[in-house]
Amino acid sequence: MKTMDFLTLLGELDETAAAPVVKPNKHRPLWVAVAACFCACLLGFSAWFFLPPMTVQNNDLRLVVIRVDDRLISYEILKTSVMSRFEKARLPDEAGEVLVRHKDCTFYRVAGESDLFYLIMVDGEGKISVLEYEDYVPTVGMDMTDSLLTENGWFTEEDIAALNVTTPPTMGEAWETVYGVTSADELKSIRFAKVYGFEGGVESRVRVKAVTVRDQKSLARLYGMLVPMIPADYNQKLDYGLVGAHDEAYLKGEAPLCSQTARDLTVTLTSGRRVTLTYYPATGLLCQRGTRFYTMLSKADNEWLIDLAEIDMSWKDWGTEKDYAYGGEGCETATTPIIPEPEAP
Amino acid sequence: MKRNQDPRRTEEEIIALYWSRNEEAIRQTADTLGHYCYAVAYNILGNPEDAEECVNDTYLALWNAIPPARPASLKHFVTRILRNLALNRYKEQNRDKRGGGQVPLALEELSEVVSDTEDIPADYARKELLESVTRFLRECSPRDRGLFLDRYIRLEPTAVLAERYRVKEAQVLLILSRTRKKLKAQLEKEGYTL
Repeated sequence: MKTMDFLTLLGELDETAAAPVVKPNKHRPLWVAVAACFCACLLGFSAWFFLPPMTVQNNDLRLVVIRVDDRLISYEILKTSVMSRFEKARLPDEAGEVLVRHKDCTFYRVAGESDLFYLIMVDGEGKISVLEYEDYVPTVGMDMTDSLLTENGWFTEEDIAALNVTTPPTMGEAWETVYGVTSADELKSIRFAKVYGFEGGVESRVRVKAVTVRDQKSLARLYGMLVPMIPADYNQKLDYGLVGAHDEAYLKGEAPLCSQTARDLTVTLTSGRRVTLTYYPATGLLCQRGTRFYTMLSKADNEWLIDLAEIDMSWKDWGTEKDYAYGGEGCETATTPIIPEPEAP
Repeated sequence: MKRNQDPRRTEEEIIALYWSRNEEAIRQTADTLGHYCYAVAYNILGNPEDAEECVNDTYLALWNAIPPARPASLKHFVTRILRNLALNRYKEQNRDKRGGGQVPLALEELSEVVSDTEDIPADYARKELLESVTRFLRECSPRDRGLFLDRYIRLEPTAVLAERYRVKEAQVLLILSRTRKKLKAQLEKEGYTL
C-alpha cells in the first residue's frame, strides 16, 4: 500500500471512536503540589495520632482487684495498648479525683461520673488504662480472694485488715457503689431477652419473645427483690441449680430447660447505664456478668418474674445441647424436667 | 439577558444553518473553525496562500455536502474534507516538485507501517482496515492516541506537539515511533500486510 494512500485513509478515521478521552497534560501549579504534600503530611500525622498502634501488646494483667471502702471490687482492664495517642493524650484530662492507691498504682474516678463503673488506672510507669467494673467480690475467704490479695503485692496488711470479712455484700450495696443506684426510682425499665450463649448451645436456637417492663410498680418490686440478694458461695453446692452443661443435673436432662428458658434481664437505669443479669427461671437463679451467681429467689418471686417475662416453662425439643468442654457430648434426649421446690432464702 | 454571550454558535446550530441553506453557516464555520482549518491546511501544504485557498475550498465543499450529510461532529467532518483537499493539492504540488509542510515527514514516518508498494490486496476493505486502526488507537493511552491523531490526521509539527503535551520533542518522536511499531505489529497480527 502506498504511504500516501495510508495517510489519506487515516483521514477517514472516526475520531470520536478513537479520540483521546482526556485532555493533554498541563503543568500543575506549584500550589497544587504544596497542597498535596500538606494533605499527605496531615493524613500521616492523623493516622499516627488518631489510630491505635498496629502492633498490639497483650496486657498480662487482665483483671485487677481494688479496695473500695471495706469491700473488694474486681475490674477488667480495657486494652490500654490499643488506644490511640489521641485517646491516651485525653485520658489525664478525663481522670477525676483519686479513688484509691495500691502500691505504685493509682485509681481515679472518671471526671464527671458519679458512679464507679469505669475507672482510670495509672501504673508506676505512667501507663494509663481504663477499667470496667467486673464483679463485686464477696467476703475475704470466699472464691480466690486470698490469692487476688497477694499476687500483685498491692495489698498491705492494713488494707486487708480494713476489709469487711464477715458480712457478704448485697446486690443493693454493689449497685449503690458501682452504679450509684439508691432507690427504685432510678430504674427506668427491665427488658427480658434472649441469652446469647456459646455457639451451638440451646440458647442460640431457642426462639424468645423479648419483653420490656416499664411500670413503676414492677420496677419497685424487682428492685426490692434484688437489693437484699447476696452472692452464692462457690464452695457451697447449689443442689439443683447449677446451669452448666457439665453439671450432673444437665446430664439428667434438666439443664436444657434451664437453657431454653434462660433470659437476659437488663435493667436500664435513669443514668443511662445498663445492668445485665442472666435469669434462670427453671432454677430460680440470677447470675451477674456470667460469673457471679446469687442465692436463689423465693418461689413466689420466681413465679412472679416468670409471669412478668412471659416465659413459656414447658419443655420443647430444641435439639441437643453441645458442651465443648465435654467434647461436644451432651444430653441426647431431655426428659421432662422436675423442678424442685426452692428452699427458703 | 445573558451577558458576555459568545457570538459563536454551537456545532449543532451551525449544521442547522447549513440545512436551512443560510449562508451565515459559512461565516459561523469560519469564525468557529477558521484558525483550526488554516493550521491543518498549512501543516499539510506549508504555504500560507495555498492553505488559505484550501480552507476556502473546504467551506464550499461543506456547503455542497450539508445537506444531505448531517455530521455528528462538525469539526471532524471539516477535518476530513479539508485534509482530503489539502492532500490532493499536495500531490499536485509534489508532482511539480513544489510545496512542503509536514506531509513528507509524516509519509517518511508512516513508511515504517506500510511497504509503499502499489498493490492493494482486493480483500483489504478500507473500512475494515480503518476499524482495525480505530481499535488499536482505542487501546492506546490517551496521550499516545492524542499524539498519533494530532500528528497523522492534522499533521501538526512535532515541535508544536511537544509544547502542547509538555514533553521534549525527542520524546514525541519516540512515542510516535513506538506507536507506529505497535500499530504495524497489530495489523500484521490481524493478517494485514500493507
